[in-house]
Amino acid sequence: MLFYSFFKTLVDQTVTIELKNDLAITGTLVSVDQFLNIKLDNIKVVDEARYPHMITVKNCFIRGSVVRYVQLPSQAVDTALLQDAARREAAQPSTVQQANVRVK
Amino acid sequence: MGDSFFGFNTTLPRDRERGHGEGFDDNFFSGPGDVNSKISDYAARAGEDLEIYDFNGLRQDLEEDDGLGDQLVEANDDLNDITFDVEVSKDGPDFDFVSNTEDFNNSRISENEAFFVKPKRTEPQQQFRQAQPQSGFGNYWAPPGNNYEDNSMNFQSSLHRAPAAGGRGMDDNSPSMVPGSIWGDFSSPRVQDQSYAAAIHSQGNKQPYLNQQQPYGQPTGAGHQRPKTFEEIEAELHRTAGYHGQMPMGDAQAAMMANQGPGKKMLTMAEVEAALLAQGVPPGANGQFQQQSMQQPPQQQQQQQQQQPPYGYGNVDPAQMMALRQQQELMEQMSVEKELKRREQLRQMAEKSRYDKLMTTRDKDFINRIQLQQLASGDPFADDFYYQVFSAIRQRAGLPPPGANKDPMMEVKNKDAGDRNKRGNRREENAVHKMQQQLQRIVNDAKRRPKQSQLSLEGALGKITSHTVRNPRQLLQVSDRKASTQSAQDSPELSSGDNAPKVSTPPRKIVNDRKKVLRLVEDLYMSVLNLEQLRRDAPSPVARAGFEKEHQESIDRWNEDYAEAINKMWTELRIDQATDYTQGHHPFLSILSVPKGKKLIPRIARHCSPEKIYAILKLIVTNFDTLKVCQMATTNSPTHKDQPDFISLEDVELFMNTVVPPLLAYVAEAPLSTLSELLRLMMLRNDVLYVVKSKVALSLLTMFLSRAEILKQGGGTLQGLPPCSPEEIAEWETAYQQLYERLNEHFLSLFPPPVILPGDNQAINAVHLANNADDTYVWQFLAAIAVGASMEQQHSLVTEVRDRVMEDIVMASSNRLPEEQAAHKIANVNLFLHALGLDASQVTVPV
Amino acid sequence: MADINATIPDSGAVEEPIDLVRLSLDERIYVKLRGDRELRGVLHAFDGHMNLVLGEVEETITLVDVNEDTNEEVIRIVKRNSDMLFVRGDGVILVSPPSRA
Repeated sequence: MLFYSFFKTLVDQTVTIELKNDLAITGTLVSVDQFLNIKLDNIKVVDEARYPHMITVKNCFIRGSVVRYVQLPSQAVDTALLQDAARREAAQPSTVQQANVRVK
Repeated sequence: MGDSFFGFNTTLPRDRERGHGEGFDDNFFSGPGDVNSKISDYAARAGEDLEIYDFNGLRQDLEEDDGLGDQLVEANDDLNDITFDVEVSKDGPDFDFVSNTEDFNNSRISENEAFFVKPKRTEPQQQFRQAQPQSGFGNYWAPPGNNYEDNSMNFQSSLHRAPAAGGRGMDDNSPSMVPGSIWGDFSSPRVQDQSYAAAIHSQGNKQPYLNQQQPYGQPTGAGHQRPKTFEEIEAELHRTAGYHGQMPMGDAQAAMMANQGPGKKMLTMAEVEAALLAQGVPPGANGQFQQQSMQQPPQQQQQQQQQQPPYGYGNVDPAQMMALRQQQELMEQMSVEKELKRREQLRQMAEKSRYDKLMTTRDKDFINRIQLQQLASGDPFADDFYYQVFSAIRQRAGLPPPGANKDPMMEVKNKDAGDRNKRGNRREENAVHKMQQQLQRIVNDAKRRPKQSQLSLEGALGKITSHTVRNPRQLLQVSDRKASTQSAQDSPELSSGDNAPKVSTPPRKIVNDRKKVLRLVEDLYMSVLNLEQLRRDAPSPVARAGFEKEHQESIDRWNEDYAEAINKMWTELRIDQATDYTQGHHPFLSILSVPKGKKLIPRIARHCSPEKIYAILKLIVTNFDTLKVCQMATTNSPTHKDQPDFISLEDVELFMNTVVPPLLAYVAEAPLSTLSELLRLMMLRNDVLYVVKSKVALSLLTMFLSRAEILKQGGGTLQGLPPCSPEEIAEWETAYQQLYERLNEHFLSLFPPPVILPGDNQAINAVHLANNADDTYVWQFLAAIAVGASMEQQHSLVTEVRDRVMEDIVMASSNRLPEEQAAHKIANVNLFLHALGLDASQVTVPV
Repeated sequence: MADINATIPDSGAVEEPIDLVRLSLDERIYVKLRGDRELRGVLHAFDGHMNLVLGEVEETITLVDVNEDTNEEVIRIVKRNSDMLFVRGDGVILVSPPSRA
């Protein structure tokens, strides 16, 4: 849930999503779900010459699993907070494990 | 589909002729309940393969519900009673459309009567038709192929209206759609076929028509088709033309169509597709049908047309009759479909309501609780920490939360403040609010109870293990090494606490391995996060009325937890641990050696009492020379000959911005005795001349000196501190004198070493130096020391740094520096000069 | 700096692999990815899928071009920088502290 939570704060920001097939799309993040599927608006393909068929596409839904990178605007990220969130996330499974051991 | 209609119906006269039966009789559809028996009945009589009229197929089709059936307008039934002259209301929603229609038909004329048995009766109908040639389907059908799109749409819409209009509407309309002008025009059937078929298709009745079409696929196979001679075709043309004479409208249209010729009326695939699309039916759904109809060569279609001619029914055009039947069938099928659908709905409702009232609201609530207990953490920070805190921070800064209008899943607060209010959707808002409140209550209840991973329900055999996202089913049984080592680790640490004899603490505890340092820091982070979470969960200071006692209890409990968490953190900080110089760094100092360790200090300090801060400060001061920032900053020290790299400068800045401020805050309120103590420690434990070359040390010293000066001048009274006793002042003076003595004649070395760049242009280097090394902190320190110095000390101080002062003033007044930097330099120098009661403007610049 | 690992077996021991990643939070790390890509950057966030957020990232892509005439393989290295990067975890092969070299 960490990254879902994280991406929710990036709604309305401009991001560039690089897909596993090297297609890179810049657009405004409209929404994200827990699978990190992403909806983008006002999209523009970075290498338009290579993907002319994408020129007319104005918005899109991207399945989370085809994403390689998402380039983020660093000013929209609170890194200290993000690290804390990651620590909390990392701590959670261990508590589960403890609970599990008790169950047996 | 027209083809199939034709096919369906053309067999009728033939069948009748050969005495196979009467084709479909009109009662066929009269009772939807026994449709199947009728089918078999008919099949037996007709001696035909049941496959062709497979009603099971139809039924299946209906039950599969491709969604097209939903397009039917089921409303507007309220006019039925007017239409049928029957009291519909007594039937309620079970109004039997078909049998009513039948009644109606019987009361007037049945189709059999009208068209088969008593042909005479058709006369008045024809007249009626002539009277209203413009209404009904005739109009829709009449325009030529180019308008087919409109046609089919209209046709469809009239089909939609048809059930409401009832039987009468059908009688009125259907004959007028028959006119031979179209049916008889061999060149255009495809147009009509397709638009008509498309319309029917959209009703979701694909299957039966396709089946009916089969005979056409093998026209010769059926065997009864008598090949037509050209004369016969011609005769038929004449007859239909003659028939047209009775219908001027239709005739004209037929003529028009004839003029346009067959070629123009052929539809391209694209047109068909467009038509289908216009009706909202994906072309793929009709692919099969299209192919079939398109594959039929025109000749074959003509043949089909030729089969239509009647076999002696006087004036009645069999095409008319067939169209009527088609209409009727269509209606019936729609009714059947509708009826089936309705029954299905009823059945489902009955199914659902079978167990109604078995569970009380309480039971349901109970189940809900069990489920929610496992699912909802009740803590939005658990799953959604980043978003929640980020939003909170933004809101505090007066910014809207990210994506405020977009609604992520569960943001209760944001939603209320969001666009909901604007819409004024009060009721909905209230409902949502109520639900949220309820959920909140359940979650709160769940929170109060400990999380269970097992449930033993009353009457249940054994226990139910519940798994959740957070507590998944365990696949591997791994021994809990962490827990055991944890406890083992705890015990020595406890002994290293305040009360334990320090001797027992093994010096080996000192951590110098980087990974261990990181681990230490991360553990600290967890403690701090835990503390911060506790802070967030702190009970509100105001008690709810009537719950004062509980409230007090919860506050006490919270205080206990908080104190415990702080103790844990403090233990992890290892401040109280003794330093063993033979082993290297103190663990706390190693924490400060990594950037994230430094970043943690302000957050730790927030939870620390002044005493604890003092302990931290003391530790730092005592071990200053082992501090990494100190080592890196003192670049021309014997051990570090290297140039300070970029990272280290950054490191120093980070230290200044994170670690120093909380210490500064403490010092700003410290009594003089504390300052003396700190100053003495600093000189005692460190090589002062080495240490003061670092920015951090100098800043700390400046802090001490200036605070001491304020206290000496009685500034402490403002903070409620007692005025300094002479002993305190004497103590401080001793420490100060010591410091001065140590630094005397080394003041110039405090200035940061010039950054030597490759290249020998000294002028450029000088400029570069001026740009890079900000020596404000040195001037601040000099000022601080000058303030406390005696007259002769001041004199020697000035003598020593005079050159530097002059150098800066000269450089500032020359034109080699940008104005801003020049002003900065003067300001720096003035820091020092003002402490001595001088000013840079008093210094004459040698030209 | 004497190695004292042996004397303190417990403190700093890593129980789970992912703990090692946690230690690298706010530190520069090296990430090897599918498709001959490597990243170096400051680790800001990670989860169990090894989804990552990295800051001040330098990406290194190793491309192998085959010269059609000579059939020789020419290795080309492309570098890119980005401020802040989310990395989908399914492409991650390994995460480690950067080499000291």
